[in-house]
Amino acid sequence: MRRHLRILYIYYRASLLGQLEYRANFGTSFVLSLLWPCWILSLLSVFFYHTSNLGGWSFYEAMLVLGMYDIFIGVQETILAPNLQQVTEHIQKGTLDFVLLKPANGQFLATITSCNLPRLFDVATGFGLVVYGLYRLGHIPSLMELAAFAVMLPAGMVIVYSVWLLTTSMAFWFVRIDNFGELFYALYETGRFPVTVYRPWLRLILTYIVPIAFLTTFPAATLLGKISPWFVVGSATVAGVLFYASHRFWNYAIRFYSSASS
Amino acid sequence: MRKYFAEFRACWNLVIEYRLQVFIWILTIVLPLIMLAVWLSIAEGGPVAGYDRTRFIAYYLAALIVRNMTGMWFIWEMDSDMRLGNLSFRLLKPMNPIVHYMAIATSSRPIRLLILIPMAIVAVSWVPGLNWATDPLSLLLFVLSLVGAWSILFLMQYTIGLTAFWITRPLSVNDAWFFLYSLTSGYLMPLDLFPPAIRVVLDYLPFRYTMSFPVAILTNRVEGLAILQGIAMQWIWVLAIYGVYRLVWKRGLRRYSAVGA
Repeated sequence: MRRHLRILYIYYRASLLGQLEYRANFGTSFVLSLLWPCWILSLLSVFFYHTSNLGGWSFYEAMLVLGMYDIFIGVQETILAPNLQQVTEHIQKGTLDFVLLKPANGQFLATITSCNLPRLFDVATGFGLVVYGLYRLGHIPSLMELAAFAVMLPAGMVIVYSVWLLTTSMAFWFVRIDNFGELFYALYETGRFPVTVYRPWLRLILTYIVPIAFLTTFPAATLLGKISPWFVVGSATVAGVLFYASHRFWNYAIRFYSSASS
Repeated sequence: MRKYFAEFRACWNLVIEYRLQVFIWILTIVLPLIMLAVWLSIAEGGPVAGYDRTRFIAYYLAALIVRNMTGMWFIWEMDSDMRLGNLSFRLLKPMNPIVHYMAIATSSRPIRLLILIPMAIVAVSWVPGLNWATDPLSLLLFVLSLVGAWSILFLMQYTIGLTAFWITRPLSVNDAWFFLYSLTSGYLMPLDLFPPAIRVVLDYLPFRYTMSFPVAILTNRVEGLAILQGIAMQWIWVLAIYGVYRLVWKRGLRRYSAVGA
């Protein structure tokens, strides 16, 4: 475990140093991370220009959901998307050998070692939205609510990671999967709004099949005390099951890897 | 003329090769559908500013068709071409590089039509009260408005791509552009639903002519002279943006050759 953390530290430091060469990129990432919340908040304002609640959520409550969405997009863009791109490139060119040959867990090296740190700004603006929303609602989360949130947030991250691992593994068969990434963005988009807005059948899909609700709606509801503690247990369970399944799938899929040399 | 056809055929072959990709692109036009879902949930309590359930569905389905026929992503390829120096090869070819990107931006349309036309026919015959324009004249005008919308969007994206002569990340400019486009064109929300003060501003931007206007023709919300007026406005914008493009292209090329490519 410690060894892996050290490896991670070395990789991230190297990529941070690499990214510092392009300082303008940091600037634009920062500006864009402020731009998108404005964008979605203007859409939300148009909805609330015509209604006073969205699936039972007020404007500022819905803002919490948007904040959660930004946090997850930020995590995904910082860590998951760059790795997906890298792994598929390795698979296309047959250079995954070099990664697998290194003396550490292959899944670990292939799926979380590259990162795009400027996108952490998104995580920050996400938390900013959550805090501002809570402030405007005048709601201070109780200790229980915060504790539940502290479980829901990492569980959500594990869920996102597992879903990405599942897609990445597809690359062993389909080679060109850049657009699967796009497909996932499309599904994630539904997470911008409280899941209660959608029709029952879609709500079921977004909760149990593509667990987007666990990423944005449920954590936000936890902070607001709108949800029973069972969802915390459920969230942790979903995260565990998905992580195990995606890990197994990766190990299975990697057997179909036809490298450049062998 | 033959060389142009060759360029288009080459890009068309690429599309055929990656059919799956095109299919997924069509699926990614999901954000408007989410907006539709939210509006439908709001409209359950009664029509919203004159929009009832069917009108929302008619609007967003039409928007989907317009987006599919006018959406383009060639700036990604342009970005890597300019960074990796492929532009030099394109300059050696006996035609303006813009032709290559035009070919990319049009080559996937036939495949999209193969999916969109049956979808539209099903929608018109199955959704009651859709009230889409079905007479040949309106459809012709709709196609004309698509050509205008495509031209505006193409020239905008191409000009943004050309800013790579000066800045390292034209894709960030494209992000900012998408911010404006998606909010003010009617792609995500019918413009009628914006507060009146904002609507006034939107009238002076080119974006409404790339989405809201073609959608209005297809959904029978604009007629007669207003259609011709709209198409004229589209071409005024095309000319204006074309002027900007020529300026940027000339200045940029001088700079490019000065760097020694």
